Amino acid sequence: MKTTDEVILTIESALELEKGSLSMDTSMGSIEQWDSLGHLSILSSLDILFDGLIAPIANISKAQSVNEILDILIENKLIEK
Amino acid sequence: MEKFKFNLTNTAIDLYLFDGIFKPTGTTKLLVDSVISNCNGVVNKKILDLGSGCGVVAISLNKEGLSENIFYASDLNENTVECVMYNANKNNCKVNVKKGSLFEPWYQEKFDLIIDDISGVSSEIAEISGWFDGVPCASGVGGDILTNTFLEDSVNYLNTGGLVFFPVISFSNVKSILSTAEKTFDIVECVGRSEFMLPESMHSSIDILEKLKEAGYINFQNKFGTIIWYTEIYKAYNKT
Repeated sequence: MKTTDEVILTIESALELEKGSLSMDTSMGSIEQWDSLGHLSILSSLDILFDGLIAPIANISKAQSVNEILDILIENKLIEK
Repeated sequence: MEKFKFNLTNTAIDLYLFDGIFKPTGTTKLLVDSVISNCNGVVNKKILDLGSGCGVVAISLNKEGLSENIFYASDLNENTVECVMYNANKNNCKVNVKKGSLFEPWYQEKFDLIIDDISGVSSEIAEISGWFDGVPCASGVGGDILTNTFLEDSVNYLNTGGLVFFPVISFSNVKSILSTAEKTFDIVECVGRSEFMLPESMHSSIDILEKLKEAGYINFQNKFGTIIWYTEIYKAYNKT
């Protein structure tokens, strides 16, 4: 099972941010890189990290922050709480 | 008049939109980036921005150093000439701009580089998207009519060794457009691609999108609980 740290690193990499740039509270629109294109880049990168298990999740595109993404991954049993 | 910033690789330019002029989208940004990365050998030559809107492509290419020469631009819109001239002056760019449909304003002219940024989405999507607020979109239900005409005519306006760049949007009949391109040019290469999420404002029209997809007019993927569509940029030319 993947870890929270791996997910955050993947989000940072998708947004071309340095390691440690994001906090749990960082949300879409709060940083320049996290616009709609950045959001799609995050989802696509997570889909690669989780071997295609993200694409079928119906509410993941609506997640607006790091916290909300992690919550959805926990709900779908892809990471541990 | 609306002012907006258009981001380039290392800078941003200020542009102004006059009434009824199309506001540049992610497709325009991808088009500009793809031309800059793939226009080898066409620096400082004769460049035409067709479907120029506010002049964003020509002015961006000038700012990115692609050419210090005069640019050529045209669009169907009534306010095009005034709007492009205004933006070109603000950005110290030399431009010859004309009003007219497709190549109509450029009778007997030849160019080294022609960039197509004319309407290329299904007219039904143009209606529901809000992208064409007050701007005409006569591209047909398959979104391919104008682009196919552009491709067929473009060879008559290209100098030997000239290049054409054009966007293909999955909200149009991609097969039809690429088939026309391949019949018209020896080489057709995809040089850029970007995926986009369906804007929230279009979610109420998903049934229309599904019907258009089923009829073969458009294409998209259902992923992440939304619709993912794409734009690809193609470079086309003939062997010399």
